[in-house]
Amino acid sequence: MPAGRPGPAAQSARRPPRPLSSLWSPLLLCVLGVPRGGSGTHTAVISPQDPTLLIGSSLQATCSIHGDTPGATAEGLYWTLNGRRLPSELSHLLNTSTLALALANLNGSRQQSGDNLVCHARDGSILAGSCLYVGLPPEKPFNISCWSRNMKDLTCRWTPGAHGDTFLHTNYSLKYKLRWYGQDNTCEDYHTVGPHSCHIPKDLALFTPYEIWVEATNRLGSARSDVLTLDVLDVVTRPAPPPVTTDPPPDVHVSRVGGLEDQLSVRWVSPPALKDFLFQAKYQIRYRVEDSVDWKVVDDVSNQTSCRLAGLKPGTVYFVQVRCNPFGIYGSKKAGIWSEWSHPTAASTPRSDLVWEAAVPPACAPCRLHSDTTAPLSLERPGPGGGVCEPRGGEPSSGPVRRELKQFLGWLKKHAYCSNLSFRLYDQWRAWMQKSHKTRNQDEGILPSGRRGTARGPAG
Amino acid sequence: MEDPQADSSISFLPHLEAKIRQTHNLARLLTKYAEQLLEEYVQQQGDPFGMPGFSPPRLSLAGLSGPSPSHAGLPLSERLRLDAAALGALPALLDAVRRHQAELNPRSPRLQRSLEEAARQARALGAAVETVLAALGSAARGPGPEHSATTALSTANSAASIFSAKVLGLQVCGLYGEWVNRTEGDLSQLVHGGVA
Repeated sequence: MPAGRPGPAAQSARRPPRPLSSLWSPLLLCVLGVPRGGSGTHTAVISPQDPTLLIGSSLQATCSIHGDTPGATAEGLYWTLNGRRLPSELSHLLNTSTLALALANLNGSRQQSGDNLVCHARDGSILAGSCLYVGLPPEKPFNISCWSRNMKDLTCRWTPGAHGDTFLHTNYSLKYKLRWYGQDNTCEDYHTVGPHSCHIPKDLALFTPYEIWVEATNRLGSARSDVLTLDVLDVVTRPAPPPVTTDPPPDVHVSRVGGLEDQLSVRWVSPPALKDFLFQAKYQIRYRVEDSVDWKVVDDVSNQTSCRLAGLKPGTVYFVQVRCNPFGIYGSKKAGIWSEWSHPTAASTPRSDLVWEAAVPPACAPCRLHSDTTAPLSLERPGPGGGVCEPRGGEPSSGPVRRELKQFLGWLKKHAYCSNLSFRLYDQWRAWMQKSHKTRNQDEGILPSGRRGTARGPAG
Repeated sequence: MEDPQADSSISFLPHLEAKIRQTHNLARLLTKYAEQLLEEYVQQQGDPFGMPGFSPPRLSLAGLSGPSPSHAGLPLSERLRLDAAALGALPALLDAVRRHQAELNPRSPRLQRSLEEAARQARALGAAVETVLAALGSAARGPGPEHSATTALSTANSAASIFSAKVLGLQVCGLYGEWVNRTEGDLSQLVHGGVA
């Protein structure tokens, strides 16, 4: 239905002539040609036809009469607007066949189909009509918010322009496109969660941002909202079943760290599924003594695939498990769900007497101190594949390192027939020290005797 | 020996009478719907549409006009033929009005649904009247409903201004009510007068 276009008799130069104007006059004759009462047959045309105007603007209109009856005149004609007769002082005769009208400071249209401006004959019969559209151009929509229920769809709502009613039918169109490529798409399912909303049901990509905006259009113009950029994954309202998780890490191996009786090395493999999902992962380790039910948990293993447990009891069997938690990349901060724990893997810390027996007897070349023996030593020296993991709530570390080293050096001076000092020798000395402490404690009845040289106190 | 044709005629009559009653009831129901449609229509166009005394010049839709004053004096079969022809032409006009209103009153989906239903109802009632006519042995004469509809529709589609489109819609809704009401009256004569 063409709107806002003048008829062929329109005086206004604001709009081009209509393509179907040849059909307009005959139709108007049909519409207006039947006489009522005793009046002669005459028709009229209003100009402009169906204009669109801003609120507060003025309108100059004319009603030109075409008479089949000789003497047809505009005298006696009058105007109504939405059924109410307009004051006669607003109109005047331009000539014998034309009645003019001047309206100022127009209010917004009363109905969406336009205000009805009608030209009447003296007897009240309708000669012609024109619909006025008075309103405002749309303001920029704002406050766009979107959410996804299942990572497959997207629902968005927005707020229309700040001043609300434009008095004209305003069409809102939600548009979206992939940020770096692709064409504009238009949402089609409107009013799903309110008057200014739209639902995109499918065919949405993940891990790549969308640009979303709203275009408002009416007879007086258009406006476009700011662009909202989002990844569908970031606006999911609830986790999509099944939750993002993986199998537990496979191939968990626990082994001794040389002769160190208070440490075990744990190694595992990243779950194969993580390679496909492009996720990173963080891990957690828990361990317990064989005959205990209390687990100790090691957090913050990050994405390493090995860890050294320290502060363990010597000669003790430990059960160890590992689990992982995937989390997204490309800026997504959503963590996944922790996997199940891996099957328990057992290993025992070495017994100190065995360590001592395996130690190289200190019967070597004269001892001399190397410069690196004065370097600070730490139980946290890095091993291959990652750092050492200290248990939460576990046994305290072996005291200040420098104090130990001082003791070690003192021992060396006393027994200075060693040469080629090395960290290995230092570890052996530590193992011997631990055995000495244990033996003393056993003699004092602190720990029950059990396996030879093994402390069987409360679980690690 | 019994005449099988007479037997079939006798057994056919109850079905025809039932069909006539059913069609009459449908026409009576649609008369009410047509009144509601007109009320809804004028409400959406704004004043003066719907105001007392509002009477725009009647549009002369080639191929369709209201029941003539002489309609009641015609033979019943001729009246029913005119009823069926008008009901056959109305759906296309009602669809044209619905398309106009979709642009003029986009926030009035209820009016658009009512116009859509009116087109469907007119089609159904026209088909039912033709069935009755065929059962009575009266064939339709003159241009078919398709021809009338096409002619009227071309006029409806050429509505050049918004005001004239509003007037057109008012006239079509009015014609729909007039013809449904006329059909109801003609069928009631058939119901009460009997098939014979």
